[in-house]
Order: sequence, then structure tokens, then C-alpha cells
Amino acid sequence: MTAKHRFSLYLPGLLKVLAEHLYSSKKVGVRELLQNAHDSCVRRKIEEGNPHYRPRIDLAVNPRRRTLTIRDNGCGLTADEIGNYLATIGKGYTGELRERLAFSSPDEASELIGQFGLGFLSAFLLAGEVTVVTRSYQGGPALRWHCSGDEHYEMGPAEGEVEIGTTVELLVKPAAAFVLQEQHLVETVRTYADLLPTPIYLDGDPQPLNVMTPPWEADDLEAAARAYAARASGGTEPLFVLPLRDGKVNLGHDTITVPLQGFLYVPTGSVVSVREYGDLTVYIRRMFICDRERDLLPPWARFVRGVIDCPVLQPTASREGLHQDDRFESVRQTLEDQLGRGLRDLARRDPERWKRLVQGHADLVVSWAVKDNEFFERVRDIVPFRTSRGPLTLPEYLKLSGGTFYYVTREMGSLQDQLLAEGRDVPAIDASWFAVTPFLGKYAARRRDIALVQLDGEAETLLRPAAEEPFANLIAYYRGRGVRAKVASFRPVGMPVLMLYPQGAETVREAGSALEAGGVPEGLAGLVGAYVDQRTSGPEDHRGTLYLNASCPLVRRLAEAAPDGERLVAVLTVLWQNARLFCGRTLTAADAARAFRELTQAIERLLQP
Amino acid sequence: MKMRDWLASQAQEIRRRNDRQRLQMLQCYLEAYEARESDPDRAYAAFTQGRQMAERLNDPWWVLFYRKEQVDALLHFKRDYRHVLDLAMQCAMEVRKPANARYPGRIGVWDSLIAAYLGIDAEGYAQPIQQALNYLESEVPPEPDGDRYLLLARKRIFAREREQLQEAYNVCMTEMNLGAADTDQERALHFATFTCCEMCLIAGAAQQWQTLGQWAAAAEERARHVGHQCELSEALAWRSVAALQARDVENARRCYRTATATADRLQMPPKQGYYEALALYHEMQGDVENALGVRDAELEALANHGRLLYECRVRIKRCVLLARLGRLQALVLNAARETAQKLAQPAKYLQQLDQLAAGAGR
Repeated sequence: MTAKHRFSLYLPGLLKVLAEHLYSSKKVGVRELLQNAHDSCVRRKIEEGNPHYRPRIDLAVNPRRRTLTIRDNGCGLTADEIGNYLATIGKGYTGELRERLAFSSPDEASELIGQFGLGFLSAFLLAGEVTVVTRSYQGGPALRWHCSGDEHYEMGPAEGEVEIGTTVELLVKPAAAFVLQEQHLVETVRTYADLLPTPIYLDGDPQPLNVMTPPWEADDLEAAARAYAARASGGTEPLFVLPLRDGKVNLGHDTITVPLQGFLYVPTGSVVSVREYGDLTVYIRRMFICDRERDLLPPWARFVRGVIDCPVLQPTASREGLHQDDRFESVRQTLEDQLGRGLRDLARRDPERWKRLVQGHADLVVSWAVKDNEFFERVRDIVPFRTSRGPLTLPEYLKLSGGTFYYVTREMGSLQDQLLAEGRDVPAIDASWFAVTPFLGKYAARRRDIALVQLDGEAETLLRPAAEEPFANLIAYYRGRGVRAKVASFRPVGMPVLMLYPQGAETVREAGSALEAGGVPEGLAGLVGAYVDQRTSGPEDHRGTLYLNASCPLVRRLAEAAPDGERLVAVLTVLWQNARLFCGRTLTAADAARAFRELTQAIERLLQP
Repeated sequence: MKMRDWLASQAQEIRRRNDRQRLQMLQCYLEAYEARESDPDRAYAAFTQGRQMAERLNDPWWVLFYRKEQVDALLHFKRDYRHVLDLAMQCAMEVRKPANARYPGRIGVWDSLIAAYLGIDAEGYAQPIQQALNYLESEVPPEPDGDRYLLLARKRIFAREREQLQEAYNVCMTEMNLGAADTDQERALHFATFTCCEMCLIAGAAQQWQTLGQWAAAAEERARHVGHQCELSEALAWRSVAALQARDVENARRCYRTATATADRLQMPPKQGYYEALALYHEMQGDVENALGVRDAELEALANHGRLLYECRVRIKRCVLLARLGRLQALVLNAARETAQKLAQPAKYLQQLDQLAAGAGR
């Protein structure tokens, strides 16, 4: 037989969890109390209907007494409301009022912020003792409520003259002393409540701390948005600003309207990094929620920033983040639609600015374009690539290269790789960024006349066959020394020899040496051996191939020299060692020692009369 | 010191010193892991960037760490084996140097090399792989630990690739027992997700439908818990097969739809078990055309990615389906032969293809 039981609550424990662990920062306590004060003012405005009512919030700090006082001239609370809402966790009047107004007066409902009935608890993040003095606009006596952070509170009549509204006095804990320092308090208010429409004053200063008007409600939205973006980007003007508006999302069976305010912007440039994010600052009903929301913008829009206010987004209970629910998805889709449209429109309307945008964020744009055909078409001819001659667009590059993309996938490749490309009078494209090679491939796939040549590992494609016979003595010399030598014609003609290795050659060599030296554990030698066998059994020679340049005047002259002359041997040694040094291969200490020894000997021979 | 402890202590020290450059370097790992299923290219790029940062910081263990992560990204995130051996061997050569004698990820480096050969041609390299597994068996402590889980996973895949399903099953059970004894249950669940998926593959091949349903449910539960979307899609695909076998057609369709929708959202290519389940789902209904469609998609995802044995087997499965449809052509057979020729021991597969060709010619 089963019976239904009721959970019991351990109130002190729950209070501790909610007050101390729900929020990540004590500063949030200030936000919650300001928001309560604001909601109280909105409620009075709605319910009292007094056209002369002027809401305000006043802060007062007394470092000597360690108190922070937050006073609003809002609706105040009756004794019943204190019991029902202030002293009941998880139940708030604001949420109920919003639901009541949702249909009759949605504009007024949208001004209300509170939702969960938890915010007041955050006072205990900041204070060990909290005193509330309140008088309701509905009449009744002024009341005093006091709590020391445990499950008990005291309530009774307040003494003296009390105006309509609520005063919350916090006896600040040492750990929250920052709120007693004016500068920190001002910063906290400006972070969380800058856009609240209710003015917030500090210590009687006639100027409110908060600006109250969000940039998207300014008369000149474009200018306000630019000023905001410039501030956020360290003073540089954004390349593009896109004001946002309410959007429609098609759900298939229905269409919903997503209320949205704010703007997106694109800074002048981005750092080359896979860690670049499209960050959004998010407000809900003008209350700051977070400033690094990364999932609302589409993944490709990592170069975009923005600030939005969207009342349908659902904050987490701590209101420091957002629930990723259906509404979140609708907002995400709305943003993607508007951003996509805005960028397409920019490309059409202002091609020069669009070009600057693409160039400023080239790496991020390239990685997006690889995945999105439509976007690829828009950027393919204007996005610049790093080349050995500086940034070039692909049409500019193709004019120089005669219809072939020469690229290196290692960071900038070896000097020799670049030299080979330059030898054909073309720059080499730096394709070390992961999206560049697929971008080039996609570009080439759309035009059959474009060829792709990867210089690192495939540099042979830049060589032209040449007859070996005129150079037989040189070839014989090198082969006699165990060097695999061939003749080819390549540019620049001033480059007499070059050394080419197939990809992975260095690793093969190292693995082979390790095996020979017994430097691999016995159980693993089989795999290492399999690797070496497989890599060395093919047509490629992993010791490298020395190519003599048949077009080079020096090589031609050497070919005509006496085959066994000492000077010739010295010169050939110098050429070979030079080629090894420039081929971009890591030299071991033994390699380097050998190179210098042979070079020194060769030079000494050449210096002999 | 274990790799996990080394990473934790490094992260703690970097944060304590507020070393911004190394914090950025550390961030690359987190970024990569986060993107592994949704954008494996980006994950690989993040590991590359981490390695470049480590090189700039002249931090050889971190260089080795990130290079090994690059290998793992190619193997497990991108499933692209074309150039992985060079990179895996680079790591293997590096880790044996005296300066790295105490590097805590030493076993992991060798594990990745074995994983690379397993994915390329487990039959062709069976002997050196077996020797390497024996070596690691002597090196890796028996208690629950990342290295032990990885070793068992390699043994399991080795058995499966050689079509020794009983042996693969035994290893799976050892893995599950290891997980049960693990005090770190999050880690155990992470590894158990893969084991359960493997169990599905084994049960599917053995046509043990009831067992399949149980393992598929277990795989789904674990995949959801640890958040592995790729394995979730695989588990759901197997659930669709089990449900179809149990004549729960509606549930089977729902699982199939969810499986494919989940996989379609990812850029990480699905694993063999996923395609195996989808093809089986169609074949059980006599729908050869759609089974062929599954194999086409599988081939498209893996062709020319250096996974020689797997590619060869998929090509043969396609040939079988095409033969059943009466559409097997010389061109397809030749492509399969060409792939088989790349194997170290192609005879068995060439013979199968000859038989198919003979059947098609009759």
C-alpha cells in the first residue's frame, strides 16, 4: 500500500542556498533590489493611474554605519502583501501582475521585470540584516519589516513620517563592502541598470546615475548604435550596424512574432583565431542579463557583435544566463534571418563597405563561406588571402599566376617552396588556416580552367623535364656520393639546385633510425617497421631528391667543367649543402655539423690558389 | 602521474599564475572538445592553434599534447586517415625521447598509433597490432583508468575488425566490469557509451534482437547522460532496428527519424554502427533500394579517407545490394577491386568480388 507524502523544507538551508549560491556574484544583489524598486514604481504607475506621478529610486550609502539604502517611491506594500510576497519564497506580485496585464495592456506588462519571487533574497548576498520600511499607495499604516537572514522576521508599525514607497536598508556584510564604495556602486548600477527607465539617484545628486534611454530608442538610432559600438570596440567605428526589429518566425503550422530591439554591428577587424565568438549583450526589459551570450548568433557570424533587448527570452533563476528553449531558438532564428538579409543588402547597396567587412574578417569569412554556397558566391572574389606578396584577392592572384593556385599548407611553407612559386613569377598562398584549402578547392571547382598546386610535398609539379645527358657528369658525381639526383628545368633560373622530399619524409627517416638504433620498445617495433616499410616501398625516395636546374647558367657552366676537378667537387658540395639548408627540413645536430664541415672543406678548397 | 592529473595540475597552476598566454593555449583544448561533433574542422584547427601557441611558448610537453590531440581529431572527430600516420608517428618518435620519458600521455600516444592502423587496415597489420596491444597490456595498470579503457577499446575494435565477434563481446564485458568498478562514474559512463554501441553492433550482426534492444537502450541512456550526440544517433538507429524486429513499427520509425535528424545536425561523420543499423532497418523490410541509399551515404562519407579495409567492405556491401537489384556493373566492381588491391591482404575480398561478378554475369 503506497501513500502520498509531502516534502518538508529546511528553511535555513534553503535560504542559504538561494541567497548565497544562486548568483555567481554579489553584485547581482544590487541588480535585484534595483529591479524590485523599478517594478514597484511601474506597478504604482499602472494601478494608481496618477498622471503626475514621477517614479524615482534613491540610493544612499553610509560607510560609517555600513549601510546601503535603496528607496523607491513606488507602490509600497500592505501587511498582506508583505506576508504573501516579500516573505514568501518563489512567489512574486510582479509575475502575477504581468500575467494579468499580458492581454489587457501588454505594453505595461512588458515594463515589469521580476518573475520568480526570488530577487529579494539576494539582499542577503550583501547584508547580514535587512530592514524594509514601506507604505502602500493603497492606504494603511506604514510598516517596518526586519530580518537577520534566518527563517524568522519581525514586522510592526514603522515610526515617524513615511512617504508612499519602500525603503530597503542593508547592513552590509564585510564581504560585500564594495557596495559602500561609491565608485564600485556606480559601476554596478551602470552595468545592470543603465537602461532602466526609472531614474536612479545617489546620495541626493540631482543627476541620475543611469542613462535610461537605450541606444535603440534614440532619435537617431544609427548614430546611437555607432557610438555604442565604437565605445565597445575601443573607440573604432564599426564597419556595419544593423538595427533590429520585431521578427516573424514560421513554425510550419503557425507564425509567431518575436519582439526584438537592439542592433548588431561588425567591428573593423577580428583576431585570427578559432576562439572568436559572436558575442551578444542581452537585456530583458532593459535589465542587463549577460554580455557574452554566444549561442544566439549563428555559428558563422563570429565576426558580429551586438546588443539586444528581447522580452520573450527566458532568464535562468539567477538571471545571469538564458534558457535555451523554444523561445531562444525563435530569437536565434530571427537574428539569423535579419543578419543574413542585412549583410546581403549591404553587399548590394554598398559594395565598398562590404568589401572592407570581408577583408577585415577574412579568416572567419573564409571558414563560413566554405560551408555556405550563397555566401561563398558573395565573397569569393573579394576576400583577401595571405600570400608571399602580401594580401591578394583570388582574381588578383589569378592574374599573376596565370590560372593556377599555388599554396602552402604549412605555416608560410619553406623558403624553397615560396622561392619555387616566385620562380614562376607567382606568389604562394598561405593555406595554413584550416579553411583556406577547401575554399580554394571550391573556387577551382567552379572554374574548370583553374588548377591547384600544393607546394609543400608537391613541388615537383613546378618542375619541367629536362634532358639528363648534358649534365651526366654532375649526376654521376652526386649519385657516386649516394645522393639521388635528377635534372629538371625550373624558375627562378638563378636557383641552381633544390632538394625535394615527399611528405612525411622526416618522420620516416627518424622512425627508420630509431628502429636501427633499437630505440623503439620491442612490442611497438612492428608498427614502426610497418610504417617505414610502407613509406619506403613506394616510388618516392624519402632520402630526398636533388634537382639540378637545367635552366641555370651556373649549372650549365659546371656541366661543361672537367668532371673530376677539385674545384668542381667543392662547388657541387656547396650547392648540395645549400639545397639541404633551404629545403625547410629540420636538421639534426649531426646534420648541421656535417653540413658545416663539408661547406668549410669546400670553401677551403676553393680558396686554395 | 596520470594524464588527467597532469592536465588538472597544469590548468590549476596556469590559473593561479594568471598566465594569460597559457590560459589562451588551454582554452584551445576546451574549444576543440566543444566543437568536436558539430564542427570537427574547427576542433582540429583549435588543436593546431594550441600546438602553435605551445611552440611559441617553447613548452615541449604541451606541443606533444596538442600534436597528439591533432591525431585524435583526425581519427575520431574527422575520421580522416589519409595523413594521420605521419602525424601519429611523429608523436610516437617524440615521446620515446629521454626528455619525454616521464610524459604522462606516453601510452595515449602509442594508443593513437594503434588506433590509426586499426582504422586503416586491421587485417593487413594484424600481427604488429597484436604485438603492440600485448606490449601495452604489460604497460598499462589493470585498474580503471583512461589508458586501461583505451586499451580495451582497441582490443575490442581489433577483434571486431577481424570479424571475431565472440572475442569482441568478451572485451566489451571486461569493459563494462571495469566501468562498474570505477570510482569515477562519469568517466565510466563516457567509455561505456562506446562499449554499449559496440554491443549493439555485435548483437545486430548475431541477430540477437532482444539483446540488441537492451544494449541500444543502454547506449542511448549513456549517450544522453554524457552528451555524445554521435553515439546517441547510433544508439537510436539500433533502437529502430530492435523496435522493428519487435513489430513496434511506430516506435521504430520515430527512433529512425530521431537518429537521422541527430546525425544530420553533426558534421562529425557517423560511425560504422550507425550505417549498419540504418541499412539493416531497410533490409529487414525488404527495402533494398533504401538500404543501398544508406551504403551510398556511408561510402560518400568514408571514400578516399584512408580507411582502406572499411571502405573495401562497404564497397562490397554495395555490390551485394546492387546485385540483388540486378544493377551491378563492372565499373562498381572495378572500383571495389581497386580499393581491395590497396589492402595488405586483399585475396579474400577479391575472391568475394569475383564471385559477385560471376553471379552478375550469369
